[in-house]
Amino acid sequence: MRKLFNIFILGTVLLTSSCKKFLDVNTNPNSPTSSTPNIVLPAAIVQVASAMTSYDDFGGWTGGFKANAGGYGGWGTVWTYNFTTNDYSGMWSSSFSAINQLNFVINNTTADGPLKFYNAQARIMKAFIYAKLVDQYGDVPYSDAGQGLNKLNPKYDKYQDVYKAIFAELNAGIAIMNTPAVTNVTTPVTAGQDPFGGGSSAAGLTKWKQFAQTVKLKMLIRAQKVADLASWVATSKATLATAVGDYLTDDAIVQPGYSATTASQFNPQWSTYGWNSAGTSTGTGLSNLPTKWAVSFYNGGKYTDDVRGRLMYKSYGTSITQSIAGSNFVIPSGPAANQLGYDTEPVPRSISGSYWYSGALTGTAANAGTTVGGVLKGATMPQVLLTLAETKFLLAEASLASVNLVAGVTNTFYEDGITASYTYLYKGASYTWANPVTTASLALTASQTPTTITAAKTAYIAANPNATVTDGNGKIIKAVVDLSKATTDEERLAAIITQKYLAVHMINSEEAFNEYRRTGYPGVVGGSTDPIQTYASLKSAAPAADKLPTRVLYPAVEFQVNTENVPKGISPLTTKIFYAK
Amino acid sequence: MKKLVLSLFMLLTLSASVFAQERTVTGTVVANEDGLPVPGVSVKVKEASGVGTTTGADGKFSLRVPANAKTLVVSYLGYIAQELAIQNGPITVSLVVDAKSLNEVVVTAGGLSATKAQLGTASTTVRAQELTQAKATNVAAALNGKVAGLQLNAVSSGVNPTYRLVLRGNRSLLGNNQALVVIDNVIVPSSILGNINPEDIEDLQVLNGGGAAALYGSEASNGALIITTKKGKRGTTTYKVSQTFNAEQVNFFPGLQNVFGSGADSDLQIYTSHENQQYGPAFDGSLKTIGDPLEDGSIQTIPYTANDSKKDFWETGLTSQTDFSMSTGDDKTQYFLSGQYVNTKGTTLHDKFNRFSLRLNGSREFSKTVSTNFSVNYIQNRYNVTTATSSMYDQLLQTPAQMPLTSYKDWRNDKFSTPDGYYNAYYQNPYYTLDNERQFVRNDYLTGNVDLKFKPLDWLNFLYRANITTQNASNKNWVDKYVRSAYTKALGLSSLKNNDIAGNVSDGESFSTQLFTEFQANVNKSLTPDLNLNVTLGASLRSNTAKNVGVAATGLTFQGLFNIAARTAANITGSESNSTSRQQAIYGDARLSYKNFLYLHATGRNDWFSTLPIANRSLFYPSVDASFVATNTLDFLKDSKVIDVLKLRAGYTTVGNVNLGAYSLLTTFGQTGGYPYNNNPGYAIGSTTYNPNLKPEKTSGFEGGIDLELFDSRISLNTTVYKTKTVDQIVPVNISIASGFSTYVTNTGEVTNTGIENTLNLIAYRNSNWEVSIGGNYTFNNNKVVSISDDITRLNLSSGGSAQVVAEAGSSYPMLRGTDFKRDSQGRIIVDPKSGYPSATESGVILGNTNPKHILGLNTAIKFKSLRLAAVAEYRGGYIAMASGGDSFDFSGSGIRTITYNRERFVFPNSSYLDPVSGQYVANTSLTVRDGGAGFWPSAAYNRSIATNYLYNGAYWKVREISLSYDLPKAWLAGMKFVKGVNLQAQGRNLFLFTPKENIFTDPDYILGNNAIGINTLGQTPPTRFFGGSVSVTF
Repeated sequence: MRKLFNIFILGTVLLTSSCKKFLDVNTNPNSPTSSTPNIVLPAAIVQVASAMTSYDDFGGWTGGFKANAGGYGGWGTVWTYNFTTNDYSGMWSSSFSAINQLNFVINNTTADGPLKFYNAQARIMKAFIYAKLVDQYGDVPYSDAGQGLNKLNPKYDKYQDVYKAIFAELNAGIAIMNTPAVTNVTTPVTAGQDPFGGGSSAAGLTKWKQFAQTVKLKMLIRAQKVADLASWVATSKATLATAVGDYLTDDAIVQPGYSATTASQFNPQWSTYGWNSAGTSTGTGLSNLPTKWAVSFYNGGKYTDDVRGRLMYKSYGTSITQSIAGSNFVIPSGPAANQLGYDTEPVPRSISGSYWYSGALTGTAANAGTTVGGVLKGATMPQVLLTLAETKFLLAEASLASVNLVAGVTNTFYEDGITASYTYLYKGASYTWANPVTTASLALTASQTPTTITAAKTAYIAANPNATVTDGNGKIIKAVVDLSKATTDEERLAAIITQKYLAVHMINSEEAFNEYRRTGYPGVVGGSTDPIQTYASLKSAAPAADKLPTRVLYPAVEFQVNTENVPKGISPLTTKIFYAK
Repeated sequence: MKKLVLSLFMLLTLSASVFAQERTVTGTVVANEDGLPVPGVSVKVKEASGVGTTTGADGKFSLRVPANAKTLVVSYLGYIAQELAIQNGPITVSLVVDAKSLNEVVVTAGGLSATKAQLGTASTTVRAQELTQAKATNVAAALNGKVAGLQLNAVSSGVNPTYRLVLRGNRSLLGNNQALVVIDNVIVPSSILGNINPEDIEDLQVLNGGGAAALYGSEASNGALIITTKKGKRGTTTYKVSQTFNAEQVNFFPGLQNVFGSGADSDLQIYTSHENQQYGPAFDGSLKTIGDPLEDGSIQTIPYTANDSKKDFWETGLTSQTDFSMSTGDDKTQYFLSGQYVNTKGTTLHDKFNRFSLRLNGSREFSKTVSTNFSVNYIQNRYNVTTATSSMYDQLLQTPAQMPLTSYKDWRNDKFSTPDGYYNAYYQNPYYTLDNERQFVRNDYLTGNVDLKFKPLDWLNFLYRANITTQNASNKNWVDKYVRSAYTKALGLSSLKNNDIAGNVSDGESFSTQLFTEFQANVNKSLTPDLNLNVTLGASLRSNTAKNVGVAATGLTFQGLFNIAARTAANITGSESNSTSRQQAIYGDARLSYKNFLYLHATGRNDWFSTLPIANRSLFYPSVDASFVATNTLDFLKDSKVIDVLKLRAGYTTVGNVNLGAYSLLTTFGQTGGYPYNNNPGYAIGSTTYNPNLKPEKTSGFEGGIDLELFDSRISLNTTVYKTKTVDQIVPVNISIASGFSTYVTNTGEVTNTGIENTLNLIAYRNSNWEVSIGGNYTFNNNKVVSISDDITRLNLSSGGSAQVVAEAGSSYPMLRGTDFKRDSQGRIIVDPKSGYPSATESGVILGNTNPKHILGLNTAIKFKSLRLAAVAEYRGGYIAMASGGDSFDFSGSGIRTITYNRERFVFPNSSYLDPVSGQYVANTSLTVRDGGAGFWPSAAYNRSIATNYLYNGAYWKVREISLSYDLPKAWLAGMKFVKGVNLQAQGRNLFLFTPKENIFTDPDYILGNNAIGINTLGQTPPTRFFGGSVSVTF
């Protein structure tokens, strides 16, 4: 019997000694468990681009561009503004998804190592998306963020500290890009790895630096009246670029090669509102409508701008008949529009691909189309991070005497901004513009078809009455279009912000709401139920005079899992964001 | 198998007799249950100790007996010993199974065996006859109501439903809770249980607790089902052929209204001809047109009267089962060979399933010390089913009651049935859907096993076992394309009618293979005359490999051609996954017996898992149990006329459970956001991070029980109480995404289960012709999620919809959580003071537990000569379920709820409203809802998004099985040379389902899947009954 045990024990020993080899089969054959910065950076940039849609959606509702379409229910906090911790949390999660990628690149590269350009690009992109995040949430995790198991509950940093830190990152990124590549040492960023700048070629680096400078300018503009940041703004001003050419000279876009044939490769904004790869229209496109307020900036309600109106909207200016609950409902002049919170039938219905697709194509043909302008151009259109128009309006504001951040002629910047807005809208999905590329699909008459974009801009400025309108309390509720007619910097600011409002319309809509909170423009008549006087929801629960919300709440998951750190006591209706007026 | 082992033993210990002999007695020993000869039976002379023999392979014996011999004692383990007077001429002895089952030998974990007296833990044996009496094609289905502590849920309906088998309640929050399935000592995937031929099974042993099963390793923490298949018998060759037909018919229809027809308008009941919603005017028998005019100008006109076509939509299914088996053997070699073909046509038109299986079991004795057992089993099944059951069911509900639904079957040729001509503008013809969204699945299983035994000494033996289990599968899913006519599109009716169907196809293949080897050494030795030690030491290796590849394409070029190559999309999408995991173990099992009344048993097992971090790879878990047979030692019980057996048992167990697949330790990178673009890769870091020290979940448990047999074992009672605690559950916990990850997989969470299992069997009446037995089993289980983690008090097991199945700290598990009406402090439903409409709570509230607290199984068998009537019924209660498809009933207006108030304005029952003057909630007695029709019932806000509307008491009584079987008397067959027996049978399963009135939806057994018990969907077709007959002939 003892012998038997001995045999058994021997067998066991043999078994366990071969154990390690037998059991070492846990190497993942399906997915890599490690990666390199040069293949993570492209995914990171594309994630930043796709995060833009959740910001735009938030801005679309709170900035006055979107209303509920008939036939859809369950709007709840969309029209009461009494946001819950689940509302718009995509801004948080999609931004951090991208930040986590960018941190991987930054943590696995150095400022002076062979992958320094990856490092620099990741820093700039991280600063850009962090600025977007801080502008919505204020305090956010920064110094503890992205440390994985070391910091499962990252603490929140003050908004001013995050602002300062990311501004420094932008400067650092520029500085790295200003040091030349070391031959046979520095690994260049190839065009395919950089869907934003097109790589670390001279042109690519220039674009990145212009982008970084523009983000810096935008941060200082936003922070200029924030008490906690006043001294920082004063000192940081010196690092701003002085030459106009050092800021963006074209739209900052991401184009990895969005495709109309593969569902996962659609432009993210298009896949929100347009058609899917099988040609079925999306629920968002079918349930969201333009607001009457937004349309009034084009159709003469507030301003007249048929060119951009036609570029923006389907059926602009034409009669629409909809069958609602068995009866025909006629909208004399398109697009079908509504006022947020209005839900007494007949409520206008949306259409496949939404009213923000101005082209005549539908389904997969619309996906593949490349010659339709406007905001929804096609599935292959590039994703905007920051438009040239917004850049120009930032410069315009920065050049105001009362602001004095950048030298230059305000009116030139301002009119260049309008031109840039026209230019962007006139471009098709392939991002090329040929006048009058969209004539056929827009049915523009000869007189409405400008021979050049500049002519369109000039015609627009000339066509609109040019006197500032104020309410009884002297608050500007309608700005001039011709900036030369403005008499004070406040009137100029109102005009600049109003034009910026139109330039980010359904592109970076969140900037419309951000700038409204910062400047109060375009002005609304508080408490009015007239859809042209205000865009506040008819069902608003907000106590403020303008009946608008003040900010979003931190997402629910932070309250569940990062309880001790997440700032508490915030109200979406009364707690103002740090740069709010 | 059992008989074989025992007879081997006896052959070896046979000693020659040395007494003076005067005459020879001959005879045959047969088993009463099947009339077949029993080899190895001990035949002794009562008057002369030492004179005896054993029966041979043919059951015959021949014994020279001394002159004084008068009585023969015939005994065999597991059968009642008989004494017979020695007579002239051959004696036939018919052995009767010993109902006093203490000596019954059962298979326990690790392929070891023990007598029931020795067992310190609860187990239930289900015999072949009970398994096959109702001719269920699925073994799981045949277990319903028969085993205390076992809860079976049909995950779905359909042609081959899958079942979820849980013993003693759910303990793992997100991991597997299902019992381990072992066939002939081989751990197999539970999918095999639904595919093995039930006719191949000799018996099925249920080990309720983890402790009993601990030797099988970590998966056994949920208990085990141990299946032993049939073996060939010595000395006889029998052939059995049988044929069964079962019809399948819906036995429970959801509550549908037949008062109102097509219409969708609020406030007014307006007839709309192409409408799916049924909020139109009441039926009046007038002729009405339906749909829109076709291109040729024709339009259908039908009487505006409700018909039954929504019920007639469901077909009568048919299952044909053909069985063949052969059993043969001589002294050294035995074979059992079987084949089965099952062909099923479901209750959904065109849904088909077939299964073919072959089995060869054999054993051979090479010498007195070396023998082998082997088995090979091949099973293939084929599915041809629709993938769109849930849309099809929804489309059915979206069909107004006046529509002649069953006339739309011929969607290819009938102009009113084509997607162009179908009347409904918003929902597809369900016949079109079921025909054009389909799936072909092919599964082939092959299992093979070889046991090699070496028994050098009578107290020592060795066993080597090797086996392979493989599954090879492929599937093709497709949605056919359809191009609508320009005319239909121009009508501009709806996005359904305006759009072509692009079609898509996907194709996948997979395999999984398990290789397993095991070595056991067993010592069985009496240390003293009173003390016996039986020790087994073993070691095993297991390797599991799987691969899965799939491709898919959207947009078909041709209607009816489903090939990835014939696509319109530029690219196809594809996926591949591979996995290998391994496990090795050593274990020991020691059983110490003192006399015949005290038994101690201990097991220990150490596992090493490839899927765990190296430092935590090794896991040891011991268990102990003891059994005390009081009736074998205490004098007052020994002599009791009433109590035959009183056994007390208790055990304590720990078992580890690794709920972690391969490669789940490191964060992965993946191509996301559409990458690769233009040949450029882009990899993003995954959002899940892992605790580097992940370790197995651990379940520890105590159980204790009493086994009692009374009145000549005519009454037997088993009671077991248990308490288990599962800690360190492997759970993916949400974390702040700012940390770099959004999910953290770690060990956390604790769940306890307590319960009681009772089985009572009673032979109510027995004489030479009659036997009436009645049995029952009752299970009560109560479990509780003690904690989940510091940060989290709730885990969702399902998502979406108005209610979710959750695990919630402090509550029993699983729990349903969902929206309710907003209520005032008195519990009254708050309605809007203007519209009279109620509203939903923003967030969910706890609605109730979804696992039955009480399960009662009743069974009876009445035998008269060779006629046998058996029945099984089951009750479940103490839980709720929710019909997530219920909102389709109300949205469409098909549901019977929607006519509660005859579509008139009504005062919402038990409601209150906020009085603007007093600021108090006052009872609402007069304020009616604005609209009692289309304005209310289809509204998500007022009705459909409120989960409590679709909640129902899950209690039910089911008559699970009734079967009547008749063996033709032997005398009738005497003239037939070859036929040994003919059996005729009629059987029915799930014949009746009785539910509380509030259940107007479906069988509450249906579940969403995994651990999400408690939500039924429209993906499950209505519950059905089976009934039919079978003939079997033995040659």
